[in-house]
Amino acid sequence: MAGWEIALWSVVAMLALIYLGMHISTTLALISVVCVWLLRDNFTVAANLLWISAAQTINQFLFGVIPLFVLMGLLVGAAGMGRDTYDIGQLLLRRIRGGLGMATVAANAIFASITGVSVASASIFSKLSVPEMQRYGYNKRFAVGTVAGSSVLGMLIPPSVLFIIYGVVAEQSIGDLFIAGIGPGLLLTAAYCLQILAMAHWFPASVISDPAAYHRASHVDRRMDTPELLAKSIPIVMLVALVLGGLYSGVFTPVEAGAAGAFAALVFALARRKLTWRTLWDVILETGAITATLMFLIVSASMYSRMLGMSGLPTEMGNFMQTMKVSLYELLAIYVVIVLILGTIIDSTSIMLIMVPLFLPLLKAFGVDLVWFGVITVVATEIGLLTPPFGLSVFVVHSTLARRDISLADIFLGALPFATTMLIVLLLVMAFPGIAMYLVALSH
Amino acid sequence: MRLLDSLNRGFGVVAVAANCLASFWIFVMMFIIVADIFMRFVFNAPFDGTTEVIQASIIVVLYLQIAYTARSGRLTRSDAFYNWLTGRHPKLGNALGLFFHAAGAALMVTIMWPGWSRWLNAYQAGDYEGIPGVFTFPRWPAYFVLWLGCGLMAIQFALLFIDNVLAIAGKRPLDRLQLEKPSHTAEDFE
Repeated sequence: MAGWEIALWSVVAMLALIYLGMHISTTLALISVVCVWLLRDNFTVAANLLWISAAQTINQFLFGVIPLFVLMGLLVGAAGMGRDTYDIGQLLLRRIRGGLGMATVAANAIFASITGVSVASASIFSKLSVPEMQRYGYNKRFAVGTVAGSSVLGMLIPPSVLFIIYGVVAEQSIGDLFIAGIGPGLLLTAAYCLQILAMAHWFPASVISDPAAYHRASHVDRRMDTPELLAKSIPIVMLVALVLGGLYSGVFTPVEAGAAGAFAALVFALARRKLTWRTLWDVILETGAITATLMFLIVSASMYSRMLGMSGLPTEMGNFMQTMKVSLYELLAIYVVIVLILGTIIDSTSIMLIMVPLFLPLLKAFGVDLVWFGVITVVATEIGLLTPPFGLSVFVVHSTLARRDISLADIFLGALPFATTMLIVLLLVMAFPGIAMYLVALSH
Repeated sequence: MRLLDSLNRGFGVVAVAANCLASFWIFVMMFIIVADIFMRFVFNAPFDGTTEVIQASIIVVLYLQIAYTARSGRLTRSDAFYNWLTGRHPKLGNALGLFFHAAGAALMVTIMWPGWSRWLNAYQAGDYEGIPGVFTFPRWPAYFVLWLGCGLMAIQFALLFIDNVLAIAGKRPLDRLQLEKPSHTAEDFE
């Protein structure tokens, strides 16, 4: 068997093991070590490849961004800023029919600009906006679907851990990737709001199932005064200015932006007396768990991409594509379809780490802008957060709410319109690269 | 059985302690970088060696944390089929889990095998990161922690393997520490 054939079979075996339920990082490592062993007929080489990947993938300063942005995201949540963004969104949009849904979307978009992990958004907004929407007589499927659907904004609007990981794997500027996420992020926010308006207009029952409760609640709504609004929005504006402003003005490196953001979030949490020892302890342990999971995935994905490089599979695929005369858009279509299928089973980071090393060499041949490809990858993998049977955002909403009257199926059905909207936005970003790249071009 | 129970509890202490140490170190990294920024702006005198210390720290942090991550079931996996199988045919599901955990332990040992001489060589040769004369930081501590962390992970996989064996034999899983039992996760923040 030629090297590339071994690698091709290994990809099949890897997907089978992942579907069976083997840990994704150990699957990648196992497949790599077995393949290199077969390719070189030498176990020592294979063992050394594992060690080199384990030791020399993450020993770069840049990897400091991952724990720091995760820490910042959790501290921002602990400081109660999720609630603030929700209050602001509610204030602006509650008078419109379906407004609480739009408020959730808007709050997620604002919160996304100060946090880089969508799991955090999904759990915070499940607790905030689902009970509130139900008080207003909203359809419960719509309520939970909105929370799950809009949580994906967390990873699209900068800062974003997913963009950081892509930047590291594809060797692209994290700053450029962050800027490229702004356009599609805002587009998706607007598209979600339009979709909610359309649902409220044409299928009112799918949004508000108890109109009587809606009218009752709408008459007694509370107004927020100016000082309160300022107290809630100023810290958010300051954090955005510090992290993204610092990054783009060239004052901070990405790692420094993460550290400064985490530190500022810590100061806000302390100043508001939101940080008990217990919360701090939870934040510390959770930062550790998320960081270790992500970085261990990256380490094992580097084993796998080294193995792929040795096998010559990407080159072979490139030759194949050339003889088939596959155009760029056909290639992208194949890529997106595979990503969407994987998305029903695997989480975003893993899909990215499995697929990007395979497709990157092919795309380089077309001279594609890899920042744009990064945006496509992030949006496509994030659709997987909402699709059954494995949808991470849906799971988080379900486990956070922990209510007997809300099943996983309710949340998947509620999130379906949002997943569809994401797909439309993905196609738009593919058809009009300017949506992502215009701001990047401006910033250079 | 009782010996294995106390072994599992004892290892729980090690895994939790290693994780706390590493997670706390992320906090320290944040303070080092913020202090560096502060010194650069206010006194125009950044610390030498921030980059090297952070580089070495990231490996240390990861490998001290992974055993706990595996222990608390947080390693990423797609468990829809596995959970269904374990619910429907417990023995079959646990046999599959047995294979997963054995493979995990074997892989960790595979990394440790070249890892031992790598860290010893780095120690004896005095390998370092950084620029001589400005700031240097030895490489061996990170390499040693890598070896150690993989060892902890291998032990953790072996303990999970024993849990699978016990489940197939129809016995209860190994006893865990009291503080591991209540779940404290990101969902409890608000």
